[in-house]
Amino acid sequence: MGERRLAGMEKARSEKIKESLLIGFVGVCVVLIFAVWFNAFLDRGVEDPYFYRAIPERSESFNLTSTVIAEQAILGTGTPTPEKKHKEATLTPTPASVPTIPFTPESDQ
Amino acid sequence: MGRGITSPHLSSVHSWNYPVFFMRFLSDLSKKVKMTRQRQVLISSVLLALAAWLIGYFSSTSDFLPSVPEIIPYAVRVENQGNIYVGYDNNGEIVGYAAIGKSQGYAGPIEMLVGIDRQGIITGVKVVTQRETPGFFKLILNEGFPEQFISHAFRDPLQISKDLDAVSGATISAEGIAASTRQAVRLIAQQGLGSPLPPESQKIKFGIPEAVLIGLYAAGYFGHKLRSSAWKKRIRWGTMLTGMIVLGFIYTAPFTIAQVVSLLSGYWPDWHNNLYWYLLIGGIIFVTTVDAKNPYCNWFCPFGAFQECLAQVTGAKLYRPRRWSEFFTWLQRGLAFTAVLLGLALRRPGIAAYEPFATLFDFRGNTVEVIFLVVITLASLIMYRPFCNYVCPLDPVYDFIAEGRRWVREGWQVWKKREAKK
Repeated sequence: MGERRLAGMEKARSEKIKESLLIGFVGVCVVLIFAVWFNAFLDRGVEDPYFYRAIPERSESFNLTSTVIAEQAILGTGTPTPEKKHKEATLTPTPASVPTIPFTPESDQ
Repeated sequence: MGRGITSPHLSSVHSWNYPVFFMRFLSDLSKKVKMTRQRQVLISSVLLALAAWLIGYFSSTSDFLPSVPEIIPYAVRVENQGNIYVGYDNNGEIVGYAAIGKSQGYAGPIEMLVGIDRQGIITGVKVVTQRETPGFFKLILNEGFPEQFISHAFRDPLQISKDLDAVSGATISAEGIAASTRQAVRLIAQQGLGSPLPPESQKIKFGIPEAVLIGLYAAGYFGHKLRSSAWKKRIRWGTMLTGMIVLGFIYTAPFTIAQVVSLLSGYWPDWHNNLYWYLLIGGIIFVTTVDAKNPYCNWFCPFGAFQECLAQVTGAKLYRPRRWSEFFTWLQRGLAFTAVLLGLALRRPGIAAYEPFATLFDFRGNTVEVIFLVVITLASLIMYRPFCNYVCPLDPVYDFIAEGRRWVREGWQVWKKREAKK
């Protein structure tokens, strides 16, 4: 009888420990889940750095002469000079109202 | 507090009593149609999810216009012409073009703003919109993936494994960025440079993950119908280990609540490149609806299999005290529902996902996620599948579908009886 009582008490105590561990586990998980959401919510606001820009690098296959002349014209006098028609010429600068000249295949990389 | 009276029949309703009014209405309705508490919660949760969806729909905007001049070098003025933007210098000469491309990432649409100069060289890219899980997206930025596009010519393939390096662990997000960029380049090539590109071939992506997934569904479906419990156990362990290794550690493609939110948000990816997504979600919904069984969780969930392997080591058993059972069930449902509402309202399925799958299978996560994984791992040595039984958001999703199915079946049977009586 005494042994049964002791066994019963042991079982009740181990049951209580298990229950406490379980509640502790669930409680910690809930707190961590809210922390995960909070971190994710903070991260979502960081949009600006997702921006990449580079000074355009000229490919070796381009006609650098034409390109440099065009650039100098734009940056220097501010008045673009018409580009000479050349086998390796790239796009001719044109005002908005005129359709652009198609990109010439020879200028491809 | 004053009364918020709008019409005579609402004279007993105060302006701050609308929630009470709604609950009374639901209670009256449930008495009339003999609705259980579960179904009251089902209706309320559908209405709340709809409200969150509407909030997300009307608040998701992206303001990219200020970025357009920045992305075209030397441009001082930008004009919108059709689907593209044309940049002009001080003299009114065209210096470049920009356009927005859109494609699907892992958790939702990705929109890229791309700038190209007159020589057809990509001068800049900007992520205008993305819904990816923050951890995955940070990885892509840290690896410098978007920078790879700079200085490419518009005719270049701009494809991963051809002229772009992949980002291990964030392949789908990276492919989404690449596809969006290609779409923007295509627009500029056609409408700006006057040199249209050939159409992109739409090959169906069917590889090892897709084949393994179909195999796992088949094994799970037929396996659970077996009479021999020994064979059932062997097949189940086979599917679990395959799920953990292939879908987990090799491809990191488990089912997450983010996919449920993507589905509800309408962010359905192109099926040619994302057949796996459709197979995974479609398979679960189909089998749950038709067979009332959850094929995924018990048979090949990678994270569930991980916990079960740990339980095998220590002989851990399922522990669910009766007096706490209902509380834990509703807590689990509450967490899942909160995740869905957050994802829908913010239109960010990636934010909704709190499962530490990437932390385990990709060895990647912040401090909180790592602690979460450690806690679950230790608990798995003491009790059987603690994450699945108390915290996982997918079990409530299955409960929701199963309850809806039960309701429809009951309604169908009542209707059939009435028709038979006539």
